[in-house]
Amino acid sequence: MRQMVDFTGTSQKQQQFLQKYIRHHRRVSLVKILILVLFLLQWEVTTRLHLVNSFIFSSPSRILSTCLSMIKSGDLILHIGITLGETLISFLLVTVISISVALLLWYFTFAADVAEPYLVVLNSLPKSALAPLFIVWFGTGFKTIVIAGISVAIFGSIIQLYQAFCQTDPDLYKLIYTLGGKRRHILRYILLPGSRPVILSGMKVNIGLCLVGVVIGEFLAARQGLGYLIIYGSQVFKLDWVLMSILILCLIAMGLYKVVELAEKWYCQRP
Amino acid sequence: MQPLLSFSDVCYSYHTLKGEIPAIRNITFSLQEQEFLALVGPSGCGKSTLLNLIAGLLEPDSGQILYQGKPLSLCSFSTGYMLQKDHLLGWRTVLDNILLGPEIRGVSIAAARKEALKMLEKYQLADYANAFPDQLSGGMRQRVALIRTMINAPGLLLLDEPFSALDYQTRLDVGNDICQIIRQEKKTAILVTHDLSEAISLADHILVLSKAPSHIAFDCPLKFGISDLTPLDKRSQPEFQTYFNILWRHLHETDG
Repeated sequence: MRQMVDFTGTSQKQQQFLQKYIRHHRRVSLVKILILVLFLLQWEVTTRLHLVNSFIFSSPSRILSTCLSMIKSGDLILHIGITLGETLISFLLVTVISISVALLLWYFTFAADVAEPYLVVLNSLPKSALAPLFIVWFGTGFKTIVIAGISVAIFGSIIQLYQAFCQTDPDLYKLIYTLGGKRRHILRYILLPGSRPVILSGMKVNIGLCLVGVVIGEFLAARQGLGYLIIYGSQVFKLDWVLMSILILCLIAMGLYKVVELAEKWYCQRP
Repeated sequence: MQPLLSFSDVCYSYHTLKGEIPAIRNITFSLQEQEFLALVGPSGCGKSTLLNLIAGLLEPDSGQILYQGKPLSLCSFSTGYMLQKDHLLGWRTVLDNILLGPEIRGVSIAAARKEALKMLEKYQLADYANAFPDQLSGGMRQRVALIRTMINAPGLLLLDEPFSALDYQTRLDVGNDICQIIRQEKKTAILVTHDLSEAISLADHILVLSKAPSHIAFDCPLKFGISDLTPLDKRSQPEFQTYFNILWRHLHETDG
């Protein structure tokens, strides 16, 4: 439940409505948690009873003990840190590059008309198909992984931002022109502040896409990171590592989304 | 007396892929200083095109527009444009919205701020200087939009259906307020409207435009027996109905 409910000075009908609202949200939260607990429980029980092969499917307790031992050795923190670092750098670059390119395309209509088909094609292209090329061009390691991370999010982000810029009410342009402004004033006073919600909602999508790209990059061109751990684990049949890494990636994806969401709320708050 | 603004034989066409669309044809009229002119006519007759030509957003294909006897392109006068929607920027406070023009023109913000606060005080909006536009009623928003326009000391106010997005009662109140502000500040204004009653109650002079490509179908200066009436008072005068009937007939003729 996101907001506190105030019962003071309310009628009986209103109290019934509020209680119904609280009940509904409590039930939703309970079922959400129950599904997770039941899933983990049946996973643990079925592997302990040898109904499924714990070597192939691992188990929550095995994943937990692997996780703890890797934290102790410091390996896991290193792998998580590297994946997180690469994702954040890709995300930062995607944000800066996509806003800059979308603004340039808005400013230079000719360039936008020329670039449109190229952007559409590049956006539709499965980026994993490009990863082997990145290895040949940029070698293995950090640079290739960050570029893989950028490549997944950048084109869609440019297209989305450019379209948002183009949908600005033309009457606002008229307002700026009649106040004595030029195109650059539209950019400064209308486009950038007015597109803040679109930029922030795009950032929420982009952080997840960058993580996807970074993991693709790590599959192919890394010696460290969670993507590498997944590939290496599957090759040496250490499926505890694979499943642990996948679960950690889920947590990272959720955490990064929440961080951007919090940043969005903080930024949108009025003084 | 030299008119403030004069149009002589002005023509303008829009160019689209489907062809050339003539919007206005041989428009000739003049406007005296401190006069309030209303343009009425059927939808799409080119009323807003006329305002865009005066604001310098469009250039005429032929004919001449003179401001104080000089071609418009050689003048550095500023127009204040009020549109159907107030277009207050939601991310700026009322005061910052008003200061948009001075910021763009790069004039002293401190002086403009002082002037803006004075105007807000004068028009009963002082308590809302630091509020955001979504905290204001429709009528208050339009008054803020007018102050944003007036702070730039425009030589001419262009009002493009500024009240049409408001509900009827607010529309009468805001129309009344804004007309009085314009009179107090001794401004010259051109109002585009669909509403004949609004035009008669606010303006000194009405031009009825024909269907596009529009020309002036009827030129009607307004004179009420009692002077200095407010727009709301004018509505209860006998002349109001007479002008309404005359203009209604002409509008029907041009529309038909």
